Amino acid sequence: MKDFEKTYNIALAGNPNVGKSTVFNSFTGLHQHTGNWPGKTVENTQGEYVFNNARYIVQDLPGTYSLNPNSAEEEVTCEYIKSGNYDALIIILDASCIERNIRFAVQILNFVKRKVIICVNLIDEAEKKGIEVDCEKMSELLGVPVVAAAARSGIGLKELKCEVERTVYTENKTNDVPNKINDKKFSREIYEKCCRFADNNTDGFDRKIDKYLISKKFGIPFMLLILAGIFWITIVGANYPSDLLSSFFEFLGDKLKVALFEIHCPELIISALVDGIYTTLTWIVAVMLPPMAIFFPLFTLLEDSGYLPRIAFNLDSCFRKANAHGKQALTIAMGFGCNACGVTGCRIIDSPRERLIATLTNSLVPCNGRFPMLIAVISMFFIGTYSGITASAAEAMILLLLIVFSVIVTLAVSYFLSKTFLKGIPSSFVLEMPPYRKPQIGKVIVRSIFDRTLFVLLRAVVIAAPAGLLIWILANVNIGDTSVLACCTDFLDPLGKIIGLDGAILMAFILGFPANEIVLPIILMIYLSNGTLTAIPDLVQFHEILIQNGWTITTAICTLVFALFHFPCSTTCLTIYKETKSKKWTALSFLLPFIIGIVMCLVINVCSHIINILL
Amino acid sequence: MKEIITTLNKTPIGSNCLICNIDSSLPIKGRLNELGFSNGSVIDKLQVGSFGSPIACRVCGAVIAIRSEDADKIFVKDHYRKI
Repeated sequence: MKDFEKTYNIALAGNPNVGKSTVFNSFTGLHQHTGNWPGKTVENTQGEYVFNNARYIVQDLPGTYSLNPNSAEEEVTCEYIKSGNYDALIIILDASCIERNIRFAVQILNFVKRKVIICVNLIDEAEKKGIEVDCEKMSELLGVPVVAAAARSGIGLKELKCEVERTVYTENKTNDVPNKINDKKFSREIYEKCCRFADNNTDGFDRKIDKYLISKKFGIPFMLLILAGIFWITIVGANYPSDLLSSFFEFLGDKLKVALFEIHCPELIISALVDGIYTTLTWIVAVMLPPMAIFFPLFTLLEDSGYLPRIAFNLDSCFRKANAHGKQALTIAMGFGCNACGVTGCRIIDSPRERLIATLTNSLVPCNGRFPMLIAVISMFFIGTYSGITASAAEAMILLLLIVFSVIVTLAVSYFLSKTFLKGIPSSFVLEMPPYRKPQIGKVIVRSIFDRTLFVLLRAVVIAAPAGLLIWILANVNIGDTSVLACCTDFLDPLGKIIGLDGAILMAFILGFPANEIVLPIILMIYLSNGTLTAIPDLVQFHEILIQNGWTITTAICTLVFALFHFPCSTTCLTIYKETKSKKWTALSFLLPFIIGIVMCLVINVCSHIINILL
Repeated sequence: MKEIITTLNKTPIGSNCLICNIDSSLPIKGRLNELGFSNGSVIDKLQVGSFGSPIACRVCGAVIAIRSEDADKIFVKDHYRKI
């Protein structure tokens, strides 16, 4: 690495959702996730950039509304700001909500009287709303450099970097802000002198949309409609790449076999490589990847638009009745992307009791990795051979019902926890609803498809390939007459049968502990290890295989329910342990959904038997 | 016009009011203060959620949602018009 003359530490501070991470990303070239809602960044992130031959290490601090911390995490951030252990501090202000932001800046200036640069961000948005900020005047009054910027479109960032350089080169810089001044009065004065408004009604457009999206009558129906729409697009959109990829991999698999045969590879190894590793890998890529690669960007778009806090608004009453926090809706929404992210995101909830409830119940909603499994089972058993818009719409509706069901169970479990293990009165709920923003469609799609695809492929290689090999070995090593795999599945079979599943499905869920994406491929492999089919089956063939192995509608329903409620994946368990630092809570978060799943499947199975007898 | 003192929870949707007192027993008073809910601030009650809670208000140019029981501890002068 090249030696630089000097290294400087700079930090980004500001209210939540003012665009700190956007500035951070464009400075460092990293791809820290950004979203239009307060609390998206919950962890300190570090990055670096080089400017005029000097190296700058940038800290992206989580947003905070003031220097009086309300939670342990905020305390860390506030202490860091107060400590002054950096060469420059960039305070980012939201121009469209400037009054409150100025107060925050003044508060910091009272503590840290040097090395502060103010960046008035989102000036483009403020301009549209008729708000004008006089940065020169503000700089004069506050005695620190003030830069106007629109970080999303890259405006003003060069100037900000220059200003940072100037600040770090100036030693012992002091401001002329007098100590112990009246924060409120002083910020009011600055606000009145520097800002101009075109008219009073500056957010008419947002209010018009909010009239529908968070209205008393239509808020929840609109929310369900939006979710159903996303599922529908995912289902319809995933079909085409799935088919294409399947036939491509089938073609490639044949060629691979022939090639391996040509170089006189032992048949056993060909079988292990192609039937073991290759089938699992390609199945994941062909069937599991497309829905994930479509759902994830759609969800990111929703997040970018500013709709997520509105979901929390609509659902707060439900969470209040469950003695939980309204922001739990946000962590659930993040859980749809990835349960581990949802668990980390629980830090936005200040009250420790409610945060723990949100953490423990997060894996009750299906993550992105479980969606393809749900979609595949629904389409095989409930839609059948129908196709077209009605079929895919019906499929989306069934998926929506499952999701609503999982949220209801989450609420019920939250209520149960708050009455037993985590007693307490509900704390308050304060949530800022950000203005709607046009999502950066191109950027989001490219980034999230790229990130997701790489992530899934990597996981497929790291986890699914060894799992595929393991299954192949288990299926081909015999104890006496039966294979080890058959022994295992036979052992699990009685338990599986009681709860409406079978040994193979249970085995697949256990082997899928590192990554839920591989559950369905493993089920397939276990069934195929006794059969003769070698090509990658499409869903129709897959359905036949399942039927041959004794699947009924009851099995399908139980599998769906068990896919929703079983132990969280290994990554989520680790994250829960990291967040709670307690083996007890981690164990509870592992057992809770597992027990719920087993009990529900048992009930479903018993009911279906009773119905069968009665009919 | 006669000034009526009521709470933010009871004041009708769409009203523009002046905060005259926040009950000090409200645990989130500090947080609300940071967000601009303080004596003398002008706030607009914009919308109410599905079951009467939460309440969305505009204060300091931002929209903030709070629960109805908390809004019941914020006393406001209704129909306040900024001169």
